[in-house]
Amino acid sequence: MAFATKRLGKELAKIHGNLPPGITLVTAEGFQEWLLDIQVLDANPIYTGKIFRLKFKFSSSYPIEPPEVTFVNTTDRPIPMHPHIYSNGIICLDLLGQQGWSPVQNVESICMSLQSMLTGNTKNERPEGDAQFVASNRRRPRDIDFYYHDNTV
Amino acid sequence: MSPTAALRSITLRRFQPGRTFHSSSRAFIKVGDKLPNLDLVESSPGNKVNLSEEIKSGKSLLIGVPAAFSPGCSNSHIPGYLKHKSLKNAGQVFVIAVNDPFVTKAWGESLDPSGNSGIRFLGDPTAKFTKALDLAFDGTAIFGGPRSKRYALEIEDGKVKALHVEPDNTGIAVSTAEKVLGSSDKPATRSSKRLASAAAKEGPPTPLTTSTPMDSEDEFMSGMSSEEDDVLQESDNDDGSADDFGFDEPEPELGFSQKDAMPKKKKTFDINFKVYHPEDIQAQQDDLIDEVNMILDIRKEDAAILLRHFRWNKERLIEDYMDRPKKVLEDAGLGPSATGPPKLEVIPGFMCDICCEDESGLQSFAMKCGHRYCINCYKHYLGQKIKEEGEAARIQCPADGCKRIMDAKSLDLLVTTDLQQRYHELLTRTYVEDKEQLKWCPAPDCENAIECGIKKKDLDRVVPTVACDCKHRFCFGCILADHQPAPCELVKRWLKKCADDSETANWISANTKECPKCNSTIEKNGGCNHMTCRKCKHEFCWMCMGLWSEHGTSWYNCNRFEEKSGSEARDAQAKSRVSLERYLHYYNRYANHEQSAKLDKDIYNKTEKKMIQLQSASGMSWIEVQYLNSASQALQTCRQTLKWTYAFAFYLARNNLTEMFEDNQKDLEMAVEALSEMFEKPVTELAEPKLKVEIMDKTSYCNKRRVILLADTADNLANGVWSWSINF
Repeated sequence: MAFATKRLGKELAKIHGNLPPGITLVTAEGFQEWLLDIQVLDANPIYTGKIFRLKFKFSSSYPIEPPEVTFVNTTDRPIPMHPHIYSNGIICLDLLGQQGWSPVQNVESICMSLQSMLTGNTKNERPEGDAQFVASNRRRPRDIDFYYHDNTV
Repeated sequence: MSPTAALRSITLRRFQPGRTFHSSSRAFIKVGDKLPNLDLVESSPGNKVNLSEEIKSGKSLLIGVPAAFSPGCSNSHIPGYLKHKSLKNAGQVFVIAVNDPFVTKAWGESLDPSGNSGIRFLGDPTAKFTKALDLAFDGTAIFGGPRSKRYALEIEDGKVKALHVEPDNTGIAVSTAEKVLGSSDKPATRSSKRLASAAAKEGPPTPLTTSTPMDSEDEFMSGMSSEEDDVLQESDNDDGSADDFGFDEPEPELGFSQKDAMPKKKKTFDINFKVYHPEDIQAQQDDLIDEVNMILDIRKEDAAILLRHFRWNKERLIEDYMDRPKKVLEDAGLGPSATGPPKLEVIPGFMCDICCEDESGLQSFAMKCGHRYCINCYKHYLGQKIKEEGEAARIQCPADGCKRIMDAKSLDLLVTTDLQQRYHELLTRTYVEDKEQLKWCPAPDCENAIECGIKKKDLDRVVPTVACDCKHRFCFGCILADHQPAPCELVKRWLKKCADDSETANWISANTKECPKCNSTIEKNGGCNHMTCRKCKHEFCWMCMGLWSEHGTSWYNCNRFEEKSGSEARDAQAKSRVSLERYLHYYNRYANHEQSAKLDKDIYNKTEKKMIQLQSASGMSWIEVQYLNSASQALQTCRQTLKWTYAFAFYLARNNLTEMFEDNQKDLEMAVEALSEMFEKPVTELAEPKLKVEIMDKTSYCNKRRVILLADTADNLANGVWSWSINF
């Protein structure tokens, strides 16, 4: 864990009070699970006035391995509508998979990527087969082989 | 063997004139004498060979030796002949030893495992033949009985043309290959081109030593090879251009080389393939890398990366590189930048972007792309990629979006030895996985790869069974265990059919009926025909499926069989009943052989024990009990084949061809069961010579039947004449 802890400690020190607009740190207790809130800042009708909560889970090989990032659903924090976000909060983004991940990415850069992914979206819809995936999936996001085919949204 | 070659072997078959009898043994053999009319034996006691008949015409050579496996005979005398360039001009060559046929057979196989030389090894167990030539000597002191002097007899048209007898009985002087066949100025090995191409086309001329009396195909082959030699004698010296009948086109795409272990007998269903060991695979890669390194004048590491990028297609790489070198390098992750060997550096003020470490003296590394990270992060990163993700050939720079690929030299600088090893292992794997004609042997712990030229599109015409050096036989097309004679597609369907529950549905429709009113499925498990549906209380007749109330007073005795409502239900049921029965017929037999094949695995293990017991029980030598091993192996391969014949037959449409196939199948099955039964006998009975001979005969008969069945099936498949009960 030492490797991941060191890096997360440095990230945390950098993040404190110094995050880009629309991104706020909720909790970062310990170096296994962090919660952050993100908002879409421009006037995208799908997301206006809404705040979404992200859960980061770090393994001991972070940042060599990507963290597990999902949206969480609470009373005032819905799961954003997006063709690449399943209604259980699982995100289909190549950045978060083994192939697309680079160890120079960090929590801040992931948040910004997700923010821009929402900002650019115009489709108020869930991925194809959402109901079935959500009902049947018992795997962790990192074990799912997403097929990153759609680069338009 | 191509059909034309087969035809040729038939036309060249030697027809033996009727027997002539002449007086038996004479006192002394000399030039001009005929050979004694006495039997020798080959391979098994029942297989008698009479040389006075066999070599009545043409040239031949008899080589007498004191003892099979004796050092002089095994190390120099016979190998001298095997290697001799003019062996092919000597006509038929026989080696005769005062030994039993099991010993001479084993000896022949040990000296000439491929059987390429055509030399036949004969036994003269009682020394009668040798004595008749007056070439025996008293070898009691060394060998325990009379033995043969070392000699060579040149025979022409059944008569002795020249004699070379060692004066001191066992020395190696006047009867050597050099003396008898003439000194060969360039010692030709067996890898002469002619032999190679002939072998590639027709398979090695197999001497009778490796077969049995019934093996008529091999008789053709050996007859053919010697005849062919006669024909070729004149052209033999021009390095055997071998274009004898125009059949010997080179087959470069298969990379055939006679150096590797050729299957002993070449059958129509045999395909060309080559087994590569890990070091061969490495050498091949190194060769390709060297070649590209020379042609394109780039570093070896870069050549390796480029080759992997182009999936080892050297021609395409060179062509593309010549056209657009920059683009090729860019795509392969070798974009332009500073040169020089990879090295670790300490740069003042450096902060690693991965771990955010910035202490002074931190060692860092950057590939040519210039993305610099500390050595610890690199270690972690590469460890993760190699160990966890099993990547090797396409590990990219850790920087986001940088496509530069980690080369072997840089990697060796950065990681520990065990990771380097794993990395190189993985690199080798990508070579095999990238090449279409290479596949890994799927056997556990086997590290060999097989090369075979069979393409995916050929798979409906051939069943490319290959055998790895580890003894595992598998299909090159689908990597499943040997499934001759059934083609891959059919195997896939059969396995799927057996695995899914489509047959459950068939059972239901064959054994149940549906309530005419509510469609509940009902199985009648006894009782009378008056059915009352439990669900909807509908009353009907099981026989005619009609309303029970319509039966009037003829209750319990349905005479309303012609009723239309009932007859439709009955038809459908009858149909699915027949279909189910048909499937079960084939499946039961398939499963039975599969089960037996598993038991054969046990038998094989028991065989070894049995052979040891047998050695102590009967005083037979290790070599003399090898027949049990071959019997066990024959059982296993035949069962494997039989198993798939049932899957194959299930998909065949009924016609004459199918009937012939079933006859072959029946013959093989009967032979296998008979052998299996003999094989199970207790050790005491196995030791009897009679049973031993029987088992040996049955073994070769089984093998023979299998070959016939497979050859026939493969021919029909190649010609596309099978008709199927399904479309595929």
